[in-house]
Amino acid sequence: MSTPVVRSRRDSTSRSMAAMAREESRGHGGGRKGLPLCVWLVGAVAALVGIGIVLVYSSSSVFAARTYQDAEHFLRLQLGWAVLGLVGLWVATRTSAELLHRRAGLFLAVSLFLCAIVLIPGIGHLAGGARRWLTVAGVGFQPSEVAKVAVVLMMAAMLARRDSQSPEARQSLLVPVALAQVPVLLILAEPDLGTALVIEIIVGMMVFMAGLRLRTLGLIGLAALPVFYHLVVGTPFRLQRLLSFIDPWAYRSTIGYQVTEALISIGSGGVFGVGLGEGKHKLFFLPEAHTDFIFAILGEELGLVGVVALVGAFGIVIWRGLEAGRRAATGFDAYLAVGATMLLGVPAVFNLLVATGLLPTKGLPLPLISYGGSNLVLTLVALGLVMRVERDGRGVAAWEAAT
Amino acid sequence: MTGHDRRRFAARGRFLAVVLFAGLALVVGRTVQLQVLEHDTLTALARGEYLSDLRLPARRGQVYDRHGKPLAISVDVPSVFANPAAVVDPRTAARRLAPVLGLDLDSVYQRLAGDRLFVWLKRQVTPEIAAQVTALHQDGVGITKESRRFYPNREVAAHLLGFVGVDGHGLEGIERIFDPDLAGEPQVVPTVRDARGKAVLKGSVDPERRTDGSDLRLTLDLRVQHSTQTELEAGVRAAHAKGGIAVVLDVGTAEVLALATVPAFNPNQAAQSDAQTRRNRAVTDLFEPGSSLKPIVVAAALEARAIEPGATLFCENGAMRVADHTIRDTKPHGWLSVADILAKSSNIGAAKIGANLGRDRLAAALRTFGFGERSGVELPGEVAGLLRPAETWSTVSTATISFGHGVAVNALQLGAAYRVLAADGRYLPPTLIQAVLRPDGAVETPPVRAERRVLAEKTAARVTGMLEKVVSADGTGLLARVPGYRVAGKTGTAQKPDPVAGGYSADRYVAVFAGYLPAEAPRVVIVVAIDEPEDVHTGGAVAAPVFASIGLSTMRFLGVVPSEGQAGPPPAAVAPPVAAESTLVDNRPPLPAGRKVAPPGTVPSFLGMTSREVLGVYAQLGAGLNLEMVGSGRVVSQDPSPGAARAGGLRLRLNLANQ
Repeated sequence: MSTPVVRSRRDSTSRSMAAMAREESRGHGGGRKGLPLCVWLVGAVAALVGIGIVLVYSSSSVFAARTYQDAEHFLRLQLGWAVLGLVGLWVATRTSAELLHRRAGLFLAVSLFLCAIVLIPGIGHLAGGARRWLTVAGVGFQPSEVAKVAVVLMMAAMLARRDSQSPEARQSLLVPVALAQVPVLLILAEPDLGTALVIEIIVGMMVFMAGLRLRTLGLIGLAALPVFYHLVVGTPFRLQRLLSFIDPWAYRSTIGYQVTEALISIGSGGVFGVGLGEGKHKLFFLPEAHTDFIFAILGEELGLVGVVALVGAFGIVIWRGLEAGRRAATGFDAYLAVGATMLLGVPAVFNLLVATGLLPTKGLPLPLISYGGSNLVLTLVALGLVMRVERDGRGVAAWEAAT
Repeated sequence: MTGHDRRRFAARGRFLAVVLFAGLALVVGRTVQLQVLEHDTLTALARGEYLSDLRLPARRGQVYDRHGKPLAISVDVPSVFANPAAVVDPRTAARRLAPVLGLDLDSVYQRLAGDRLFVWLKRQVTPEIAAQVTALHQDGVGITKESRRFYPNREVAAHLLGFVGVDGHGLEGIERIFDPDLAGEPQVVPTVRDARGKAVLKGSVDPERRTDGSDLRLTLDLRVQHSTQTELEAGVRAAHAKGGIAVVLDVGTAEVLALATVPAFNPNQAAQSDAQTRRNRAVTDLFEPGSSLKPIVVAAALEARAIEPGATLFCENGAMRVADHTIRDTKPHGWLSVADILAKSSNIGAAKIGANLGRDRLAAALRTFGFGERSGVELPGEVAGLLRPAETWSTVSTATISFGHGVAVNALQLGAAYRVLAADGRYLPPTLIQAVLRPDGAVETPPVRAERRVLAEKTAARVTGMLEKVVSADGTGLLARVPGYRVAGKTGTAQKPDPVAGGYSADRYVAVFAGYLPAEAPRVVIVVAIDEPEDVHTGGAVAAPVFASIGLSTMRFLGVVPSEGQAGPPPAAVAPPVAAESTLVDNRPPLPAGRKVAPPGTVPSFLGMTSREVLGVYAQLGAGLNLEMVGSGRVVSQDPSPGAARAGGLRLRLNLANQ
């Protein structure tokens, strides 16, 4: 982060300048070769997707062989989703900011519709006491994942518009926050507390970026506490998870089982791990080994070396994503980059803290790593958006330097 | 100001980055803690979860007497096992196997149909059945040899040998002390199991791959042991006594030739005898040596020149006042020589000799004879003799200790002390072990024992001469005479301490005779103690005859030339009348029926088992059961109850209690 550049860019001019720069960067004008995507982002994302597929295979094969008589069941599905996600990522890097900005409302409306119909019995697929799945052509996906991206787009659009209209009025920051509560409530109704919480945190982060004071955020959080308390204490399994977090070893054979198994699994890996595929805890000792607790299998099989590599890759994505926001061509792009980066960063940090027993058990997948189609596809789409913002930001800077 | 405040935006972006990176750093730190600092603990926990080793015990080493006669042997009994994973067609296999094994078709099928890696089909079958099973050439079914302990001589030397428990580990005697050598290394087949208790990775069972236990050669002479035990039993029976102990030591080497305790038990069915009977009283029980201590006191006094060998002492006509206590002799005596004090067993004479020697020198002398110590013999549970520190002795106790009251020994310790007199005044701790024979052919002998000189050769010879007089018409030990051999020895009768009333019991005695022969060149030391004989209770009457018969047969077995000028039968090498040898074939105890195996997939019954037995069964079941034992004793209840279905990761709770 070198010298902060404060530029005066009125909306209309900046918009056209940025558009020109984008044309430039994509190589449409003047026959110049388009700017490449950020190697840090592309490299880290590719590494994470690669590690993820290997780990999904390693952690699910025994379970898959038992359940589906096909050890590669989950591997094949996850590979398919990864291909779909990479296509989505590519499309996202080719989609213009104008289209996203203009259609943000439409995206949100579509995702709200999906989140609503998933709640209808018969349409939404009931699994584990929650209605989170829509099945289209035999393939299930989670509308809440779509909603996460749509909320980020909507927030970015509204915050950018507010900046250009009434940047001093802080109360107006609360309008997008209020609007975001609609998808959150629909997701809470599924129920999916984890995803709802992630959305709230990202919304909070985005309005914080837009200038909302931490004090105000704190007050809102405080006001939400009774609701949160009700959600946790009012639901027996969530309360138990909280209890088991406080001392998992005391509840080792019951509610603390998953966490203690995860800790044992990670600890038995040592510095270099027991080797890929050699882990023992996926042999039904560790529940959710290929989804929420896949980190424990990584820790067991690849050891500290693998853990540092994984955390490092996440760190690179978060760092370059936030950096892309700082250097973004427009306000919309800046908010979009931060929000989309947090779509990966927030659940990743949450999941890792849970898997290492530092936070109470929360059903959140590890982005790009855990088995799960919609999460993988939409996370890749979000990262595609970040890559596009980063490239455009570089294009504008180059264009400005040239003129 | 434009679309957004870039400076503020950058700063706030850094804040978010710091928050997230702090979270990631926390994760790495925690992982370091788990994977580096707690790695060993957590790995141990993990291993306990997924590894369940199948242990196939090694063949236990044999125990032989000094001539190579078997005392404890392990018989390889064939057992039929199966690897269900390798049985292609369990239905056909069960149909072929069930009639041969004499088992129910369905139960065989149940066992073969599972996907476990190892199941017993039938344990400890006859060689005929094993041969028939082999002839079937059934894939996935095999024969392995299981070791079973067998004591061919039954009660003979039972206390000394001890026995093994259900898990094949020595619980008493030699079996216990030398368990690490005898047991060998079991073959461990690592089997990885998942949380549902199913074998996941393949282990293999190769019954040839194991390290057998070492054999032991004892100093015991089976023939001497057998006759000693027989004569002792006869003596105990004749005296209507509660029990008896006899020890035969080799004078030259202090090796134990025989160590007998009566009543005996059959180690082949050790569980059917009670723990009191199984106690090896020759080392675990102390008794007061009584008059049999007098020769030691005399020897110590002579050695210290506290008294002249030719001296005569006035024996106060049967009663002497010491402090506030009166010491009495059974018969009043006047002036007696030192030799006659021993021959007539005068307490007053012994007390005077002890007084001449003095408290401190007497205590020190007794210690050099091994009193107050353990003999160090290779048997479990030996108690140190009782000899209080000299400074606590009163005048009275110095007097009473001089005739053997107020000290306590076990039979072996008394034998070791008498051996000093027999072996020209040298003390050598007794031993039971000649050699440990390793499976690779190496022979290990026990470390050389330190010998110490206690008496001058001349003193020992003088006391031996006096003790010969005891075994004569003039002495109390006439009945200890062995035809053809000169015997030196001493009687002893001690009242037993009364545990209830305190002090000494009026009617409960230990009758003792300790001695050695032939007197001119002693070969063996023999100690006989008869516990609580009825009616006649003196050592001379009860223990001496037993000494004589043990002495005679031992002399014959050892082929000792009779003493010069002694009439007696020629010492022709006697064919050992050891019935024990024939018992090798005849007296085999019936093998216990194979343990009932619970049908696969159900919880077996642990009711009535000890914790040790539970663990034995549990080890066979492998993982998938989370065992929890509460209390001690035997299992009185279990949850879930027997026969319940076994689901993955089941917790089995056993409550134990002493009934």
